[in-house]
Amino acid sequence: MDFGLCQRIIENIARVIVGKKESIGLLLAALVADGHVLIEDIPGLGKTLLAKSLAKSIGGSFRRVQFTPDLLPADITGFNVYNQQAGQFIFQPGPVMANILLADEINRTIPRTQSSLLESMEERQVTVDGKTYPLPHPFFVMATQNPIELEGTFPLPEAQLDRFLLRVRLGYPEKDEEIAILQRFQEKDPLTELEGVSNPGQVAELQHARKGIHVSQPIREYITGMVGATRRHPSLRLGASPRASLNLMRAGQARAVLNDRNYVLPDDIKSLAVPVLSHRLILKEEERLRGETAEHLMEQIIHQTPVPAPVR
Amino acid sequence: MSANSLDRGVPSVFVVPLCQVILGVFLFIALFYAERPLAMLAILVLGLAVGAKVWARASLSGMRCSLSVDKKRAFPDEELTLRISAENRKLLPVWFQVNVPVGGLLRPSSSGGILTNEARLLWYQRAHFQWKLTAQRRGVHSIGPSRLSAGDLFAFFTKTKKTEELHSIIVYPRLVSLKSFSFPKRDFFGVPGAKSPVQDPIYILGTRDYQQGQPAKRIHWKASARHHRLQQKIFEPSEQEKILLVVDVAQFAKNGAENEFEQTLEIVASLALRLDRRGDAVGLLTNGAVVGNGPAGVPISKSNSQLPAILEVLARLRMEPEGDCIHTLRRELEASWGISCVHFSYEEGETVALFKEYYRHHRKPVTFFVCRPGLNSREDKPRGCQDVHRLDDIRMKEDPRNETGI
Repeated sequence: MDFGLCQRIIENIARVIVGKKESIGLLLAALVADGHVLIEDIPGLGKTLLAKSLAKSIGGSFRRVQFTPDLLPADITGFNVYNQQAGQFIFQPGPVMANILLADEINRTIPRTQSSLLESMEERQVTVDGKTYPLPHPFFVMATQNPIELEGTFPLPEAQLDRFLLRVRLGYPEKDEEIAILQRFQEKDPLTELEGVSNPGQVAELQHARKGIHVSQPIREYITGMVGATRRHPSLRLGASPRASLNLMRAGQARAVLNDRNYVLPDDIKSLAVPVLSHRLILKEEERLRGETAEHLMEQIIHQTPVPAPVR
Repeated sequence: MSANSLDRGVPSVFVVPLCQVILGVFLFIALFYAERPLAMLAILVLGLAVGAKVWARASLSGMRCSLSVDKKRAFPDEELTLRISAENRKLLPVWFQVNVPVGGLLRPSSSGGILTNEARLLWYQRAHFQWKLTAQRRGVHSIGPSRLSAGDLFAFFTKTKKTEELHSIIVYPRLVSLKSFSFPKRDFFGVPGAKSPVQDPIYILGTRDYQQGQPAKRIHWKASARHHRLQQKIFEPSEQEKILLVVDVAQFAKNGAENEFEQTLEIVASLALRLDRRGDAVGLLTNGAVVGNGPAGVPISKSNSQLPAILEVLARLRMEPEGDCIHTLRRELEASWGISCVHFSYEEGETVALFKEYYRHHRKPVTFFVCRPGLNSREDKPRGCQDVHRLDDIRMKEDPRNETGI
């Protein structure tokens, strides 16, 4: 298995996206772990550009959906349209039939439409008028939410947030990075010149190879210890679920793949715990009033959870 | 560890040199009269004194001290834990003492609001001190800067330095139980769900089978084509209630009504929490000075950080007027539409009448709360969308110190 493929994809994306190596690594880890990503960020930080670059790098198809309050589930999954010439109904696939789907501002649409996308993410298929259509493989969703203004929105409930493997925040670029962006995009768009370095079949092989990455018993105990600590923390109303433990393990395996290893290290789990677990935690109200955040609590839990000793 | 106020003052400048002079004279006499044991004793004592002094001079170098508090924001009567970690990063053992001023936070009071503890640290040894503090009252309270003293093991000579580490603890107003209260609204949009008499034609919640008699414009043609039967749109109002809480600090300051001011802030904080829980957009506007010279208000918004921002402004608010309330109010009212106002003032008088007229002119629904109603408040109730209430009308009388469910 060509584990160097991951580094080539990251470097290819870096030809368009300035900086943000850590975020690109997280996205790729989520892709290799066969999960989906929630990006919580304000507009203008390059989310669409990042998704398009990833799609081009893996040679996959890309679709973008701007979620609005009047969007219906059929606008996501697809629908049957009567063709007079053919004399029958023809299925028009929705934007979910793509390798990379960017679901922009998912919190601006009604819960019914949100559910249709989330069910597709979970089942990897859509059912329209009784007929099931499988989604392409790999299938990767990047959903975005604007965290600043909640008026007129339907924030994803906790049960739905749990379906995302990890949450990423891109953040503003550093000053030198922003200067580099101006230089890079001054005369041309590097995205138009970007070429693929892989194909969906190779990515599918990577996902399959990820399952074979070794996870030792101490690592499993480390993961469950950390997740268990979230359930006992006095500042949390709800801790992470067993699905979170599974996702953390898968993300750790994916991180090992990215680093060309066939085993998972505690450092992999440590570096992924905040993006994988923090969006699944619900703070007690008094903690929210004190300005406490799930990320800060998660960092405390990481420090307090004993790291497994190396096995000789 | 509990606070311990042991006094280890630095020896007076008149005492140490005097002793040294006496010892010096003693040594001279002993040498003069060739009294060897006495001379040896004098040399020994002098040597010890010099050694202790040199020891004390070197005691503070390599000393590391860090201060941390588990909570930077709290409600009254909540407990905070103050931790100090001191480390001696050298071979020389030292005696060490830390003094931390804690402002108005400590309960029960101790040594004029200064926490003190000491320890003896061997080479590369660490000591941890911990105190439990109780937030007593609303405001911004400082912890630090701490004063570190270190010296020889017997603390004969010490050196002191002040750190620059300063922690600010923000204590929010106490939350109290409130009675059910509804506020007048001008716009029909803003009441979610079935309570709204008018549906918002922009915001489509979903579709359902077409009901006989509904206008054709409500038919959702795309959904109807997909379902092969007529579907109509279901609408929901897109606007949540927007409420601006206004506190007229000038009135309280003019009357020196500190107790009433605190009670009013408690009700404002509790009301903001209730409205936020209900899903309304809440804002705050005051004409008072704040500790730290930040803004004296929070624009109306609905976000996760809105309520902490409002509580912080209320915590920082001082009973000192600053700025013109009408001017600030005008800016906020012109920037937002569809808002209702809840105005808190000390008493119903000319100023309140002025504000009533102002709200009426801008056609803003408003509810007034005062600590002291006017003489004719019951007969002189204004018409339309304005009304004046006492604070007791909204606060639960049975258990006014209960929190609102947190």
